[in-house]
Amino acid sequence: MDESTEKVQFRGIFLKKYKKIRKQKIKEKKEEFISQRPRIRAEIERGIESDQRHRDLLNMCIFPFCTPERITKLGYRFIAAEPLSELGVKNFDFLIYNQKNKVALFGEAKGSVSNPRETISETNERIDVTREQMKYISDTYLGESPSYVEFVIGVYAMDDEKLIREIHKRGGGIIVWSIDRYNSTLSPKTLLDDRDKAIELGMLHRDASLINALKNVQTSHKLYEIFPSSHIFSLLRILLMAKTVTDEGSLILRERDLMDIVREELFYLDESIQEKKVGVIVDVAESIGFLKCVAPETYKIVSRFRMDKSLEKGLKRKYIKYNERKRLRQVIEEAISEAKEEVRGEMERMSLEKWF
Amino acid sequence: MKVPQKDYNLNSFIQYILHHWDEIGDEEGSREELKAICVLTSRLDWVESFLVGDMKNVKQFGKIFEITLPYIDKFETPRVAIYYAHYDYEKNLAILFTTTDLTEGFKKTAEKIIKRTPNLWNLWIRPTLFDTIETLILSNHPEAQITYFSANRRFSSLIKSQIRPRFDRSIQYRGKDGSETLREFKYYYGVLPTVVEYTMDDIVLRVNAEGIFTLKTANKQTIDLFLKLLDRIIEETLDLMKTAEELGFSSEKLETERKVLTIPCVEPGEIQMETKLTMEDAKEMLRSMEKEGFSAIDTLIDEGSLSLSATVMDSNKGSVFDISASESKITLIPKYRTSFDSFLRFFAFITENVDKMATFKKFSDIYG
Repeated sequence: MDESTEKVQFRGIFLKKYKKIRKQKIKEKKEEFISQRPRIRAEIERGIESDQRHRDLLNMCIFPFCTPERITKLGYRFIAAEPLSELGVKNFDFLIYNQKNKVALFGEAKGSVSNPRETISETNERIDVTREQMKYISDTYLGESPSYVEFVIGVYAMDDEKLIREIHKRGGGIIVWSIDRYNSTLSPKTLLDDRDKAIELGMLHRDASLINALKNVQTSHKLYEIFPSSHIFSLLRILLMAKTVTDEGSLILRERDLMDIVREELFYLDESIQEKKVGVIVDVAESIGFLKCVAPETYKIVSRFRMDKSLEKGLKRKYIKYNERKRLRQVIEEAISEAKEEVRGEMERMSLEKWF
Repeated sequence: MKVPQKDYNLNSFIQYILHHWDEIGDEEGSREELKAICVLTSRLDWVESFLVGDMKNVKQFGKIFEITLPYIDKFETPRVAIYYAHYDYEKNLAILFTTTDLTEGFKKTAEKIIKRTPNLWNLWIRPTLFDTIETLILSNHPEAQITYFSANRRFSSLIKSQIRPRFDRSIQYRGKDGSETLREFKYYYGVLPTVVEYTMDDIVLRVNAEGIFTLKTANKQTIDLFLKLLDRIIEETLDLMKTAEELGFSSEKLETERKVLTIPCVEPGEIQMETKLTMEDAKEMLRSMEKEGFSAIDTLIDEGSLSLSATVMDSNKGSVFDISASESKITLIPKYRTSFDSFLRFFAFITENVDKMATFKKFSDIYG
């Protein structure tokens, strides 16, 4: 931190003492930071991967509702990801709607279920919010009121049974989609032999033709690259898809190309929100030194690499370094305020001693 | 090769070449062979991709375009490569006739344009089609022999090989027993042909896996055989092209009581293989893809059985598509600036490195 801009309220021996303590504290904190750097780095990488895995599962849930298959022929279509996220309330991951029979499906993708009770409690909270906001959903997302609503949790096959048992124990109301990630298939699953009973408990779709069409339906790990609450690194990655290569070989990003991709990826969001996303991507990319503005709304990609895979690695490295620097600045600030506290305490003690 | 300016159709152009071959078969003083470079495209403006500078380098001679492309040769001398192109709308096929050498003139001019222009693709001949070509030639010319071939294999290839499969190898072979030798090399060394030369009584025709035919004997018999083979190749490849062209990511409108909703509509493709990919194979596949101009980002690979997903960037054409793979199939999801040839080059890569019998279909044709 720049000393000239720092307001130091100490004088004489206290100033000397403060400077000494501050130096020592900064040194200690820096050493601690360096020793913890691999952990910090791993934490950032874990955050990026966890977002990637969530996207993977979410795409597997919505893909059959976007392709010309039996399901879309029945009328079930993907409408939006993370409905209600703009209100800052607890929301589901996706909304599917069938305009023919007016059935709405709200679903959640859950990559791992370590505590089924907790998962169901969270989903129940989301169900309550969704029911409360049904008018808003009808007005904003559907343009009509659904006649029937079902709630879904999409999980990998290894987690399905424990979740179904817990749902059953708690009276039903949630349908489980079991996803086989290795064969890329999805199926609604119930442990009840009696299909009517499962439907009655809200643990299977009421529409029998949907159950049949969804049984072992082929799906895909990929479809959308970003969702509204995607990790900033996932957002940054789409810069690589939006860039163009000039005849001289420079990599150029035009904001309008980025906007085109954001518009396609987040087609269900308002244009103003899409524009905000573009703004955030460009700002962060400039801050981490990946983009440099060369003309209005035009940027140059700052990298010695040309292959996209290497560009992605470079982008990640810059993103991680930027976060490390940010974290380092934080610990230095912490050290300074600790030093101030310590000297201030001593000053108070000494003035009290004088008084006595 | 330079032909006088007048109105030609394909037939009259070929007739002119054959009748005047002795006069026109020179390329700046030296004798050159006649080549026919076949390019698949459904772009009606395809010829505009070849315009350079003041745009006067493309002239129309009836149904034939004369395309002149300048380049600097290895001795730093400015030269030009001249192509005479004919486009068949029904077959989506452009044939570029030229005497320019393939190693320099073509590489520095038309090849560069074809490689970078979206929706233009050198007519790919899949490895198994070379067997069909041989059978077809032998049925009409029992005396035919393979007198030259070139073949290769990548160390990472999963195509069966009896001897030391984990080696990069390439072979060029000359000899009248080329047919038997190629079979043996395919069986023992797991190589796939890239160029095959067929020799008959009055015909010497060299076929390159990228759809380049060298008519070493510029006569009617050779032209007839070339056109016959082309029909057979097109028959198969055109189906693949149509499949690839139909892949897309679009949106539809859905009208509800008070709103018109935009909903996505994706038509993916699927490559199915008999060969089962392991995680190591998949990692190697991603590495090898880079040599073909494909770069994979946002990659996620899980072991167990195999689950692989990635966004593939085609640096040649600037297109972007996603892949989602299990051990025996790969789903291709079109994303941005898609070009049919990006999918087909990817399919060609799989056919030449993973499973030569792989199939490529629209997702809706399999599961719809």
